[in-house]
Amino acid sequence: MSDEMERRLRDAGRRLPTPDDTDTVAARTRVVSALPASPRHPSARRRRPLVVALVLAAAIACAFGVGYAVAAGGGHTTTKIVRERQALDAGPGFLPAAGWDTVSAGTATPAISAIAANVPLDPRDRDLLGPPAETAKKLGPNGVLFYAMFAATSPRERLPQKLLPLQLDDARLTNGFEGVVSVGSTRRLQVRVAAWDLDVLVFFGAAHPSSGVLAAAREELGRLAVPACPAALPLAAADAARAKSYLLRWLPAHYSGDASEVAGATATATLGTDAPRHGEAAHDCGAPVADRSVEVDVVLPKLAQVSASLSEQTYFLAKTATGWLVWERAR
Amino acid sequence: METDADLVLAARRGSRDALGRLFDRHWPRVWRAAYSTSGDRELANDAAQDAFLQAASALHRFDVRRPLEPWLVRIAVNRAIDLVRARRRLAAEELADERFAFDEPLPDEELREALGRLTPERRAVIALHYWLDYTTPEIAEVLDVPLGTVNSRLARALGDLRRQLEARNV
Repeated sequence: MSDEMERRLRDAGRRLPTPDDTDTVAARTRVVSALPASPRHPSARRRRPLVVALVLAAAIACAFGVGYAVAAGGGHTTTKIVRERQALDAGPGFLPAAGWDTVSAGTATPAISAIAANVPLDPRDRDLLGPPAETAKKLGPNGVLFYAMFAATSPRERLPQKLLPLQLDDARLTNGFEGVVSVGSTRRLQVRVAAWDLDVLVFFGAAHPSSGVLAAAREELGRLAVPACPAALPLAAADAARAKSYLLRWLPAHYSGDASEVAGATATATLGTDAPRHGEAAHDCGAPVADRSVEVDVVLPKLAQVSASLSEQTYFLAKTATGWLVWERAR
Repeated sequence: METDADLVLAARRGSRDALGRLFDRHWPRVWRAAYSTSGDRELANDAAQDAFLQAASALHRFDVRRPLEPWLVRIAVNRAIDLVRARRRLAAEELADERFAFDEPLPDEELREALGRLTPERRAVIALHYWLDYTTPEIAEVLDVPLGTVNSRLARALGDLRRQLEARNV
């Protein structure tokens, strides 16, 4: 009976209907047209005609460094930012730290991802062609492995918007991840940071990681950097004047034209949502960052005789753990 | 001939032509998996299309070292099961055995009726194993369930079918 049953089943399978041609064409059209654009990266953003997202921090990494290291331990469950100089032009990824093996794809590749582990990464995972499945197999009870994927923000995804540093406590427990086996437990954090949708998997070697392992994981998650957009701190009313003063001191050294054109520059500064071009900042780095940014509108009187548009420049500044950061210039 | 991995990488870079070729390559079997699970042409269209749409939006996180089809089939089968259940809820049906019927005739009418009395999960295991030629470990990966669960579902599905067919022939 068993053989007969299998014969009848296989025979029925050979005679199953096939998809209708019209339905196939319609589905193909929808699928192909739904292909999202490749993730934006800083070089592409600079070419936009209306909002020239000049990532100044990347160009002057020696002057501005933002990084994240963490002091977590004891009963702390919140990641803290401490100073650590680091250029921002390397693309999203985990900043280097002792005891952690990291690799990131940078922004040159269309599939932007990064991994970090407190065990040596398996060479087969270093190409970042997919989840770090081989390294996952080698996690001991104290092992922690991060797999972070970055994509341009998609209107189809309704992710909560977060500021860096990300918090491990925001991650939810999940039943693993396709292609990754032999791990004790997995947490997943899906959030929007600036203009990026992040999907961060945290694989633990133990089903119930110790407090020390969790603290180490919090520290490493705090080292996850997203380019171009600052880890902005809350602003005080007096920060408008401070930002304006900073920008006018900063401008002569970083002005791209003839330095004499900066002479006599004047500026006005506006905080957060009151800023006239707040929407542009929010578009480029998300509302949380824009809300914590200062718009400084500069007038260069020497250029006013040539062109009103050239004489007016707008900069966005944020207050970070390392000081003021000019994170975008809009025209 | 370009591999799936080549086409996935090209699609990640924005090539619609590459995505179209992936669609052409896998649509028939993904649709068949969806139809086998749902038994309904319209639901199969929706489930299979959803699988490709979901895959297209998540290509950046697909591991190109792994075969593409099981990923698509997995999404399609799970979506088909969801759609069958949603349809039942909408229709306010009260069929305790979750019966369904293929909306197009099969040459083996007895078998068609017996399959219609299986739960979607058991029907999916039958379809993947006998109609799409997946091994049981492959089915476990596709459905994201332990191998033991697949073996159990398969054995119970075959037992159900056998009992039903024997009862008709008594």
